Amino acid sequence: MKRTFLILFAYLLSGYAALSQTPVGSVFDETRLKMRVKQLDEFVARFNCEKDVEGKSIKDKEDTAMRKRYVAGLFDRNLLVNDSIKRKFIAFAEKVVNPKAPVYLRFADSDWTAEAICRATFNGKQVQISMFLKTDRVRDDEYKWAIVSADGEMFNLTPKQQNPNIRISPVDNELGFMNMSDISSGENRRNVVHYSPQGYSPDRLTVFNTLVYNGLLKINHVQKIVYRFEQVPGYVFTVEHFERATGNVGWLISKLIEIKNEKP
Amino acid sequence: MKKIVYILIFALSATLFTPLKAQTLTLSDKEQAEFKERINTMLETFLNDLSSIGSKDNSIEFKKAVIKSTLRNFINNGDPYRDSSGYLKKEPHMQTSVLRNGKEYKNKLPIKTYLNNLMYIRYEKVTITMSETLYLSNLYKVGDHYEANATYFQYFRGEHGDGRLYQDKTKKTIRIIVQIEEVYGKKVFVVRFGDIDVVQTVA
Repeated sequence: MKRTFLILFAYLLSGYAALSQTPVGSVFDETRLKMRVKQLDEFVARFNCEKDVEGKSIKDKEDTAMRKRYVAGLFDRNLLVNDSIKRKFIAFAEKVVNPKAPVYLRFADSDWTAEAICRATFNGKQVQISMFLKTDRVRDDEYKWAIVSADGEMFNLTPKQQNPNIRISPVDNELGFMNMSDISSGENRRNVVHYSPQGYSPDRLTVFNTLVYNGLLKINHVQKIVYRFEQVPGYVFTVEHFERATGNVGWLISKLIEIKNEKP
Repeated sequence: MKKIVYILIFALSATLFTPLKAQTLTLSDKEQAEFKERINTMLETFLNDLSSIGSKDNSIEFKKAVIKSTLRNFINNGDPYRDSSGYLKKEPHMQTSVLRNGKEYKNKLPIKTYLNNLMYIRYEKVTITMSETLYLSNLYKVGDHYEANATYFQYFRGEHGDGRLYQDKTKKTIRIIVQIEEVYGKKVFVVRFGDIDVVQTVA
C-alpha cells in the first residue's frame, strides 16, 4: 500500500508534465491552472476530498487512496528533500485519511489561524507587523475573521531588564503623587509596565487596538499570509502561497511540524 | 444584455439553496454549474468591457457608456454604500500590478477611478483575455447577504503605436456579493462584484 502511495506521490510531484494539454494558440496552460491551488477554499476542498481539480464535487469522499493523492498534491514539493522527510509527509497523509478517524478542515474550526504579515507606519516609520486572525462565530450560520493578537516590536511593552526599584513610593499619595509625570517622561516611559501590579503582562491585542484607535499605527498593506492548522492530531502545519514556473503552485503546505507530546 | 444587472433566478428560487448548519450555502452540482456559468459570463463581459475602455479605437463617449454599464455590475454601482446596519462601507477597489525590471508593483484604486484611468491608458490597443479556468469558493453568509470569491487568470497585452508591447499574466480574485431580493413577489438572487485582488503569475 505504501509503495503504491509512493509511486502516486512521485507522480503528483512530477509537475503534471504529462497532463499538459494547452490548446494551440491559447495564452494559458489551462491544465496547470486547474492543478494550481487557487484559493485557500480550494486547498480545504482538496484536503477534504470534496472537489476535484475541475472544481466539481467528488462523489466518493471516503476513497482513502484518492484522498491521499489529493493531500499529497498539497505539499510544497521543495520540502521533500530526502526520504526521511517524505516518510514524515506520508505518515501525515495517512493520519489525515485514517478511515477510523479521518480529519477534515472546516472554516468554523477554532484551531486554525491566519497570520497577515503587514507593512505598517508607526511613529512615522515603516515597520513590519504580524496580525493573527481566527474565525469567530457571529450567530448560528455566520462567521467572521477576528483579530486575536498582533506581533511586532511596538506591542512588546515589557522592558528587557526588570528593575524592581522602579516604583511609586508608598508615601507618594500624601505628596499628591507629584512625580506621576515622570512615568511618561523621556526614556522613562519605556518602564511604564513597572508601575503596574506584579505579574501584570499587557496583552498585545489591547496594545494593537490602542495604537490603531489613537492613530499611532497605520496598516499600509498585507505582504503575505501564513495559515497555521492544528486540526490533525500530532501535527501542526502551515500553508503559504507559492508562485513559480512549475505545476506545484498556489496555496501549499509549507511546513509540517510533529508534536511529540500529543494529548491522548 | 450587459447593460442590465445580472440576476440569478433559479427556477425553484430560494428553496434551491439549502442552508447548512455550517457557515456556507450548499449548491447541487447543477446549481453550482449554473452559478459558475453566470459568473463566467459576467467576468467575460467585464474583461471585454475593459478592452473596449482601454482601446484607442473607441470614442470617449462610447467608453463612458461602457464604464457606466460596467459599474452596474459592482455593488452600489461602484460607489461607497451603507450596509444594512447603516455602517458606511468603502467602494469596491481594483488592485493593479505592473512588472518593472522583474519587480512587481501593486496599487489599489476605487473601481471608478481605475476605469476612468483605463479610458486614457497610453496603449494604442489593449487586449485582455481570460482563462477558461475559474474557481468559485463556497458562499458564506455575511449579514444580510452571501459572499464568495472567484479566481480567474487574466492575460493583458498593451500595444504602443511604435510597436512596443507590454504583457503580463495575473491571477485575479474577485469578491462576489449575492443579495436575495424580492422582484415582483419572487425571491431572486442578485449577483454583483466587489473588490478585486491581483497576484502576478508566471504560468
